[in-house]
Amino acid sequence: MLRIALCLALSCFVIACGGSEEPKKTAPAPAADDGGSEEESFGRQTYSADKGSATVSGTVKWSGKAPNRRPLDMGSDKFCEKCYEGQEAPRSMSAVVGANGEFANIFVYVKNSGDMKNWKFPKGSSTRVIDQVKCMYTPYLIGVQTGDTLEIRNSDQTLHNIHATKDGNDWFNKAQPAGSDAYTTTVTEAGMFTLKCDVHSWMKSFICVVDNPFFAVTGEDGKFSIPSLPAGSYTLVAWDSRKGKEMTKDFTVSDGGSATVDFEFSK
Amino acid sequence: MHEPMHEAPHAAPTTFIGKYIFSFDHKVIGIQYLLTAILMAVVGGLLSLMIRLQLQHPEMQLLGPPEAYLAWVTMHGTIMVFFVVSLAISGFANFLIPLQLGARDMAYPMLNMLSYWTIVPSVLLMLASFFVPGGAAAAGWTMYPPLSAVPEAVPGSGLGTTFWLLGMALFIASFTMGGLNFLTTIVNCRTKGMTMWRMPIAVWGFFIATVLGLLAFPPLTAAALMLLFDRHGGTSFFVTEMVVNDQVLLPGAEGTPLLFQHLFWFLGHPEVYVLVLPCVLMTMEIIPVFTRRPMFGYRPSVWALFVIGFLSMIVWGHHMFVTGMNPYIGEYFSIATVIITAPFAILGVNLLASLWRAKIKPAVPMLFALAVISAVGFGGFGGLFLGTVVSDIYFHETYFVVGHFHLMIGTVTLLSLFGALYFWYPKMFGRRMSEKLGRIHFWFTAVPMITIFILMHMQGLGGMLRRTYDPGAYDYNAGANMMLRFPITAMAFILFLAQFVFFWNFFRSLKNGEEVGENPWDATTLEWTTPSPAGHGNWPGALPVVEHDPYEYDGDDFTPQGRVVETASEEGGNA
Amino acid sequence: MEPRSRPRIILGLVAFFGLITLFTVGLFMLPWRSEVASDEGGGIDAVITYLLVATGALVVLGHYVLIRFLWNGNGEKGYTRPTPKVEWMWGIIPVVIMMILSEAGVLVVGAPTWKKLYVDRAENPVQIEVVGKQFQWYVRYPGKDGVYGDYDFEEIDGADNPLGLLDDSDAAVDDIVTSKLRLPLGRPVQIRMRTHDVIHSFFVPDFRVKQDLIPGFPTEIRFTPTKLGEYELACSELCGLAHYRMKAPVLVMEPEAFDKWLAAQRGYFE
Repeated sequence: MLRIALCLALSCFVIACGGSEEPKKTAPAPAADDGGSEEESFGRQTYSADKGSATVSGTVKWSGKAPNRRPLDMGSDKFCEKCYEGQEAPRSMSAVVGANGEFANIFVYVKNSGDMKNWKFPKGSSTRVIDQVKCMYTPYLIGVQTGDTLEIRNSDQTLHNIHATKDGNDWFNKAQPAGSDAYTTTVTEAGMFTLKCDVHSWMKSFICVVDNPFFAVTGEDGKFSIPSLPAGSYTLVAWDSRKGKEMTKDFTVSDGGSATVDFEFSK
Repeated sequence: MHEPMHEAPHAAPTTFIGKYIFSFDHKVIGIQYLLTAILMAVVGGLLSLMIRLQLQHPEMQLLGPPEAYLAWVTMHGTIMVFFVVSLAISGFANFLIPLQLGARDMAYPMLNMLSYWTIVPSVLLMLASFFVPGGAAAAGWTMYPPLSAVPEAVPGSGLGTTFWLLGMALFIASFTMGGLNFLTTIVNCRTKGMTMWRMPIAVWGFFIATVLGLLAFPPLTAAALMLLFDRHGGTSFFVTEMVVNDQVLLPGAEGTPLLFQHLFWFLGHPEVYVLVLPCVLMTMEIIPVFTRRPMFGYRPSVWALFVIGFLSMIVWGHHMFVTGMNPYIGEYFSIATVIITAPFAILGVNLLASLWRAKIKPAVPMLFALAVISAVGFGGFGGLFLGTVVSDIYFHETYFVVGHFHLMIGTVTLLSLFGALYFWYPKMFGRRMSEKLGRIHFWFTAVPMITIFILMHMQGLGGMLRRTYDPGAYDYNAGANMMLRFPITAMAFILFLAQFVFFWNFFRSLKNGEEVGENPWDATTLEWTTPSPAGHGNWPGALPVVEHDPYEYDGDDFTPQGRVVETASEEGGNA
Repeated sequence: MEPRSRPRIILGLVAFFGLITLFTVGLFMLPWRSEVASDEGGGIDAVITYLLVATGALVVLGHYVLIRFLWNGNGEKGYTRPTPKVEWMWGIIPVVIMMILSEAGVLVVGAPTWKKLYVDRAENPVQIEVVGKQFQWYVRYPGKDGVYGDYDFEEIDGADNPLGLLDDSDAAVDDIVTSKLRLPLGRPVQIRMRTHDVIHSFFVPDFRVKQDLIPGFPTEIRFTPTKLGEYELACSELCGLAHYRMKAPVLVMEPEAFDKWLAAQRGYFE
């Protein structure tokens, strides 16, 4: 009995010490990753920006009546309310549709399939910044390659709380009181993450992580462009953050060539 | 009928490990408990300083973000309640019960050792929980679900809470082993002549507290297990479907969080008395020694204890007045709660009237005892504000509650325990602690400890809420509530630093303290009829035989409660 | 008696006990609470005042006795051992005093307010729903039809539909959702409370009222604001890392202004 108790205590201590380092999400590598084993990666070329000269571009549109963009009610935080004093309240960013149906904030990326599998991609090394300004996330939606560094700043004189999740599972959940240092983390797992502020429930943004560098976010004109593609046949995906709806289209490009792919979302 | 324990129930230890580590001897186990409590008190005290620093300069976030602060608050409460005060009481109960009742040891020495060594993994689990991902438990020491059940709700509700629940389960197992031992020893192992009505009042305190604890802890065990199932087994005793971060969690769950509160407070309220009663009664035990007068109202006090014990089991609902309970039930809980002040008044009168026309010897244990009387007054009356249902609507979850329970289960208990430590230290180690250092320690402990928590009552009157990382987030806290921060924080630091005087005194006196004989305080009870420190089997010869009530003092004269009849040879002859 | 017969430390203790008592009583007399802003809050304040006076007197009395016994604690006055009868008498007297004092607070001073808050039903109270979530308050008025619309947790979206109201629910069409609690002066309000996640608690210090929000178990409180002004709604039950700043503004408006404001609001799906 005594021995059991001691063993239990000891093992708990060991677990505790082992677990004390920064928790790492070990995501199972997607099937078409940059090649787990030596054999698989044999014959693949390592990609760099000078090895691709094709471009895919296009426009994403919304068909039908544009969804109603609700004005955001920031009355619960005096700081946030003051930021927009005398102005019209900012509106929900979830479906920003232009006069002719130009659909902004759509994440467009090239799927890791088809000819993409001929390439090995070095890990990303850029720093991607999300800033919290006037109780809103800028940008609303950000594309990130695995290996990139994500930096989240708080430029507001109020507490924000950055809570990132995917399918209900936490990635991180940190409080950032006014004047805090930026939170930085290296992105290791691909997927579409939601970033929310628990304090200001209208604050919501998306971190879209993919394994290759071929992604873009549509602007207010609904346009996107992905350069430096090597020649080949690929699948392009457009992802709408509202309900996680996605559309895919195949395209082929030759060296130096370009392809146009348009998408149209509806309710 | 009980039988005096003529023979020690185990052989004298021969090895170092048998004597000091896995000892069966109740005195060693008692001291082990006390040392563990002191160690945990340092951890708990440091946490409280971190809390104070944060509250002093919330905007600077000196020590960590809000989630860390919540973990400190939770662990400070858990450690102080369960691993400082409870353990210290267990230490004194272990040490005193056989010595004061004239027994060779506890009824079950092996079980006694196990109860201590079950605490050790429990302590390690609690300490280890600070280092797991997400940090230590952060849902408050009351562990209300759903906050404590869902890791998405607060980071500390991950592995840290699992550790907390397992640690608590071990703690309860240990308490049950220890408690059964106390009860059996008190009921069965008293020496000849030691009737229940002649027991020193401290033993009555341990007796009632243990009965309460044994009755009250099982519901907490059940609650902890059910919470573990909710967290890891997919059940929904306490959780409901919820939305965190726009994600629906636990779809379809229809548990009731209030059930946990009922189970928790069914323990939680008696637990308060488990902490307070033995401490106040140890103080009562000390007072007659230094007033040199018999205790006032021994029998009324014991009857009052029974009444308090009974009432404490039926008033748990006063922690839940604002949960939307049926108003008639709320009124009942309120009526039953405030009536507890009546039997408590008997104890108060006992404490005060014992001083009547006395010849007070202001030794250090007595100084602490006097401070306890004052603290019981301030703390006890504060309880009325919280037990009265209407005023509790305002005071619930404010610093009034913090001030009140810290006065009762912080100040009263710790001052009593300090007094008891100074008083029984000679019996434990055969030497006295320094009076001079003891007085310094007394002033810098008692004054801040009482004043800090009185000031917190004021913050509570102003409506300041507990468990807040930055009270300045609310405009209504500006002004008076915030002004009181500084004196409280400053005194908290003084209080903490003063304990180093105590540590120095405690450890230095082990070697350098003045050596004492059997009875340095001229006290009457049985533990003072054996050498200091007492050896294996407590009395070198025959057990003492009790002939008198416990507190027969008359100025410098006194009649010991019992005496050791030097009959070693006679007994040999009889045999 | 010359001071020699009393050790210095006893004099020190007498001074400490005297000062801490005066200090405490003095501090309690200061105006810690803001001016009460609700009808029921007045009743709660009355109980607090009653208890302050009653317990204040007892604390002073207790410490007076303590100080006196310490002062005389040099064994110079003759001591006779109290008989059991005296001991029991001094046991029963405080029991009677405490029973009367404590139960008077609950049953005489307190009960009417308790009844008003939770038992009595006001006629035509203003219906308001308060919803708590980590870490924000939402306030919903049922609109012209007086009925709260249906909601579904699946539909909740912090920016687009914080309460998860269903657009195919007829009652939801005219619901009004805001993040400020607006109340009319002098009219009883009936507040229904529910939570999306963990336990929260509704506390407005100026109204003195507090009511927990329990998951899966809607709760209610009723009170009447009696003072114009802007107050703070605080969460008083630990609900997570930003618990300390889960607050919302409370506005008590003239009844006419309140009606006007309510009429000017667009329904949620209008």
